[in-house]
Amino acid sequence: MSSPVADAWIAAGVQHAVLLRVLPVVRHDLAGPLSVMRMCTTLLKRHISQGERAAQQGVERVEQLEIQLADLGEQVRRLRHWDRSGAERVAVRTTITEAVALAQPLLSLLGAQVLPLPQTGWPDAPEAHYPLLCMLLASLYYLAERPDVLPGPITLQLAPGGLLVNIGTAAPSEFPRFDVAPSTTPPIDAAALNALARHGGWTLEVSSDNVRIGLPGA
Amino acid sequence: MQPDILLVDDNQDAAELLHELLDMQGHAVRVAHTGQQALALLAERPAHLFLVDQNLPDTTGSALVPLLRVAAAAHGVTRSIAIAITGMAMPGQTTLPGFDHVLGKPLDFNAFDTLLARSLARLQAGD
Repeated sequence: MSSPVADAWIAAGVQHAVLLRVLPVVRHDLAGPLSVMRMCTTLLKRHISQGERAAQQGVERVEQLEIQLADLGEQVRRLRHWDRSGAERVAVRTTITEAVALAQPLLSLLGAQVLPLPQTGWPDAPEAHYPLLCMLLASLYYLAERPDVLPGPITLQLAPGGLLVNIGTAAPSEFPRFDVAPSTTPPIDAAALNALARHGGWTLEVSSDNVRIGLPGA
Repeated sequence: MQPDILLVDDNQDAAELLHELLDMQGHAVRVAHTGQQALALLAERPAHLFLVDQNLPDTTGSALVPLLRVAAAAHGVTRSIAIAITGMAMPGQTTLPGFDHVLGKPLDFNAFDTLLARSLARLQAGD
């Protein structure tokens, strides 16, 4: 039997499924700069211990370290997006850009590629960041993880009253398809998307290759 | 026999630095940044040891490694070792489909050096 509490738990479950897909990407983005920094320091140490490293080359490595530190700082700052207590409201296009950046690594493994966003025409009114980010990510995963098709290009564009996420089909790749969905949770299906939308107050239309998310300012 | 190493990583900085580290140790290393580049390099000359990032722009390491082994076998290399280098491994994860070994990022260079030495010794011994 449905109840507001049950609906909230279902929505929390869908958000958890989204997080399970995003976390490897977040971890990868944090580990990448750290890995390069560790290689830099190892190289510096080995060259210096062998008396090989000229001062200028050492400076270049330190500069490389500084770039990676800045990248790492940016990745840590992005973690604030997952603070659910925050009521941060940002431009819709900013949230879409973030969702695409987070989703693309797993979408790439499935063979799906998000096409560049239109530059203009987006609503000026800001939206609450976290709910829209989750709704967008869930929509992207729903469309790309369908087992019966080879996912192709994905477009995100404004449509009357909302945001339309559309996926095409791709030609078979020479590389075998990789199953990226966490096996311990049910797939994100249309029912899961609708539950998340109800909880967030979004109007939603779902088909096999489209998701339309209602946006007040669109 | 001096085993050839193929390093596949789309992170240019990481690939450049690991290449330099391996070069310092006197290894013969080639670098690819995509699955397609890796297969093209192997079409020219085989490799015996594959160091492959799991997340590549055009495929996964798990999907690529079996194709690399087939490409190496076409040159008569019947024994190869594939080591995954990934930032997306779960803590304690020691296996990934297609790979013989898994190393997480950031790399632990003591573990890396040990595994590399052991793998090269096995290849040279024909294990």
